[in-house]
Amino acid sequence: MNNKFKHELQISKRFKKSFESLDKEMKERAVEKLKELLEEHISGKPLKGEFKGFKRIRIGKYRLIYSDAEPCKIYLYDIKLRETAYI
Amino acid sequence: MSAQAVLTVPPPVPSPSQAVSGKLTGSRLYTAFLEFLRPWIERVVDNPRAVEGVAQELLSNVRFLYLLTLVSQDMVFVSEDELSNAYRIVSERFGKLGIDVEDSLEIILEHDLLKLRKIKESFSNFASLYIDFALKSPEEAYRYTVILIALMLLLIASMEVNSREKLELIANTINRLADELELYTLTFMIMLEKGEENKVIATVRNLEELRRVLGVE
Repeated sequence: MNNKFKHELQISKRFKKSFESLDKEMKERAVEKLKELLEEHISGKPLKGEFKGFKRIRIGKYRLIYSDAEPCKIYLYDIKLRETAYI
Repeated sequence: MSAQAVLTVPPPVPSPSQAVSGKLTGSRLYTAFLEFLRPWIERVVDNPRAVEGVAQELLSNVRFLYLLTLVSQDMVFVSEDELSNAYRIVSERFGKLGIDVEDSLEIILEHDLLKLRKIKESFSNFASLYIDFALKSPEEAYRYTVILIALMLLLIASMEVNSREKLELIANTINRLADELELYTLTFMIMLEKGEENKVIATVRNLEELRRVLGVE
């Protein structure tokens, strides 16, 4: 019971797909970051325009995109790698 | 007034990398553009932190907007390699002095490559996306334009100064603006993505459930 989140965490198809493509270490880092988010230790920066309800949290070169616009719910939209041919 | 200004800037708003790439090629178009920008670049070199104010002044300058229109049209002729090369050169300048702007340069390049790819894929789709954004959120579209022009000025300024102190000031401002630019890039990415993958496939209420659903045991 101690581990029960304050918020209900909704996982999108896109988030699950992106998460599955991460290596083991990054998966662990992402889960840690989600834990911090759910414990309200961190909060992301809002996106722009119509997507103001979505927020970004950086995890290295990845960006966790989520929405907490609905009360008591966190919707996990995606976890995106910085896309550049420059790396 | 500021919100209206964005609608005078034709899509695509030029990417910061274009001017750097153009400076490297030394073409007539970019020579004229950079010649015109000279006094503003000098102001940015003097005080990098004032760059957003300089960008705003430029957006109310008719001659600048005219030149910007011409430079915007050159976007379709730029290659991904040219953009990447421009950033590699800028990165080396900072790197030689041990100043870290790698993350920010990658963020800017990600934005510029996304825009370039979308423009080349379908200019019409890109233009409608941008117009839709500008009409629905004019203040943010104006801020986006200011950020792009400010970053362009900072990147050009970085190629013209040699003092570590100045480059550090430029790097700090690039870092601050790139962080904001990333929020725009992600917004545009989401605008372009299909809705079918957005549906909720699982709801969890504790860490154990989360690990199980994500396959992290």
